[in-house]
Amino acid sequence: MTIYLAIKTVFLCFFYSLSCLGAGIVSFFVIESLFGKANRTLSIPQLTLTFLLGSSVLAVFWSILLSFSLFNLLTVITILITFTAVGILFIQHNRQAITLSIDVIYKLCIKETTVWKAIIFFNLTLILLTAIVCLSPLEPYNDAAAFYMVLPKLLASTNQYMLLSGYESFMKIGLYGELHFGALMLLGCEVGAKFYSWFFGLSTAIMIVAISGLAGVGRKGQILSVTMVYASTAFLFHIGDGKTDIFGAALGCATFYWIMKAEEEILSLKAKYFVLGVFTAFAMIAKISYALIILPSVFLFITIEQYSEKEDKNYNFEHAIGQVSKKSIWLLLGIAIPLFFHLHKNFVLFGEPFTPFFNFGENIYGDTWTNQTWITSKNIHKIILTYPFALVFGNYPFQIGTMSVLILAFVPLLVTAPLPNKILKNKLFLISLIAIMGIFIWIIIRPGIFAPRYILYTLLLLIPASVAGVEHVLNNEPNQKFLSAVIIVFCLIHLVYFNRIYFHKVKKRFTDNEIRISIERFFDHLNNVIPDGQRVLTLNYYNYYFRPDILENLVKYSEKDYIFTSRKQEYDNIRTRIYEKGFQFILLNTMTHKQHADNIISSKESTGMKLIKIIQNNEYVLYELKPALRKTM
Amino acid sequence: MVIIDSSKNKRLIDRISVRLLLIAWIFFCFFLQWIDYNMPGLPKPPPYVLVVANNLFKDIFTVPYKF
Repeated sequence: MTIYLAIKTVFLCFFYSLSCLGAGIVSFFVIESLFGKANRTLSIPQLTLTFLLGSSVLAVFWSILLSFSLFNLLTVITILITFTAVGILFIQHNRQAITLSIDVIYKLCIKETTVWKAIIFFNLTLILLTAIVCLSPLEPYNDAAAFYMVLPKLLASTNQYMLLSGYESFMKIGLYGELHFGALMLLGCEVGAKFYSWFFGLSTAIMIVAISGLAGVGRKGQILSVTMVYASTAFLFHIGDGKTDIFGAALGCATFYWIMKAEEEILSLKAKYFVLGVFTAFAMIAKISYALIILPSVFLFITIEQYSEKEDKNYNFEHAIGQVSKKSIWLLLGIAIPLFFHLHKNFVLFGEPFTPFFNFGENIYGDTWTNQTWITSKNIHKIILTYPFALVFGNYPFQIGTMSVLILAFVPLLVTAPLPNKILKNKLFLISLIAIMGIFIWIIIRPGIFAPRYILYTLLLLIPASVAGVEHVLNNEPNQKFLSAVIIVFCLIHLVYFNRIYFHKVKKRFTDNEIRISIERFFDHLNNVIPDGQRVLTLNYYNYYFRPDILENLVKYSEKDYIFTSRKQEYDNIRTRIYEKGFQFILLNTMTHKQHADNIISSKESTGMKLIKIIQNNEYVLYELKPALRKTM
Repeated sequence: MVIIDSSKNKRLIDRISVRLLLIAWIFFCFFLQWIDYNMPGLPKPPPYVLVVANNLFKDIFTVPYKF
């Protein structure tokens, strides 16, 4: 990426984020108009929450536009400019309050000792490095090059919802990050679209810091909570990799920040639980695996919250049941609205709105993308026995990152902290309970998928408990100098070493790129060779580099049935069948689809259909299909 | 209110054994992390004890893909 492109990307993403902020302000205004005005104070977490809500509202806008084939540059820009104007007006109006919030944070950091300044510096370095990663080219063998960045490219090019060839059934999952990527690609920000995930990474960290603060953790603990978030590779590796896990994590954390914060604000019950429902639904849409854990967690929170009032003088059981019912109704109403748009997307694509709730396993598309198991049951037992260590150490199939060792190392320090008088009213206890419950639910329901990214928000919610212990030892135990020194020294050593490893990883993305360049060159050549309107049959998982019009015309599921026949070994005349379906070219990935490739090359053709090799690199071969010339007398 | 060891009316943190346990736990976690990062800074060949620790770590924290 050139400097010009990098500046353009950063500028566009900031413009886009400002628009999200504007959309969030409008959304809160509408909610307050309907349910009564809230007494909210302007703060950085509040702004982040507004940004996250606005981003979700924009995702709904894009979904509606895609459903009606209106997802074009003009409509997208009009919507973005309108909300950006609101965002700018808001910032101008609240300039003093925002500057004051930033100034307070700055002054608090300046007041810290050199050691803590060093920890802040290393935290900032990690945040900066994630921004640089977002500007790096897409990794060619990443899931993003197969689906998460390919679908947005298709949506931006067709302006409507369309099934992505090879991943038809996978499109049953909620689309959130993909829609934002699509909008940014429409603005001409193709690879840089993933820079938008940087804002969500930062938002996740802000939410965790804010949750820690609400749970009674002080300044030092909050600084360490940023360290723990960014030193968790399950979090770090998903910023700028083109995947969409980070969107769900930010929204999941926002859900629990809202539930904790709303208590402090003068908010009507309706507004509190309606907004809670909205955040819960968007978290589920952004990461469908959260559906299994976030709903029980939210209901548990509501029940405990109500139960904790038992000690109050005016407690009445019937009243409590009534309150829980009322809260649940508003919560479910809040969930219903975003969910409606998700179901509408499924209706547009599959003609069946409830497709994610059945046909979840093997489906009409014959694959099980949404119901995978990666590990044998014997190994699943082994992993379960090694919890919580397995969440921090080791390398498992498709895991992509673990949690920070700092969380595990410092959690036991909590035993040194004072035990709260009313434990059920203690926010730290509640949030930790929810985190642990989320992990247990996942172990029970989906033990075969062992990857922290699938339950990332719930794992991040363990951080407040860990930093609370550290905070207590550092601030309230002046006699424990050696223990304090061990904590600080290990934090610093870990941060220095972690920064070093991550720096080299980032550097490698820009320097060690022979394979990527070879693939990019191959596809550039392919995109130049194939005339407009011609179709390519692709036997390859990673289709990101195709020209948009080729991407639109890849093989459809119904055609696959005809070409590959019902008998798997039936390859005779396959080239003829491919040609009959309008494909003039075949792209074979000889590494991932070797068997298919060999069968197509060696198939017996009664019509004499020929394969002519056009381009080849180490991995890919592009063939042209040529019918045999008819013999003339 | 703090966690009290009622037998001696001492807080848990004031007991040296608890403090040592906490410190040992932190060291243990970072030792595992060091192995996980493939033990940088080791002489070659590495000491036998660490080779055993590394193999044990791999046995516990590595599983193959299903197929």
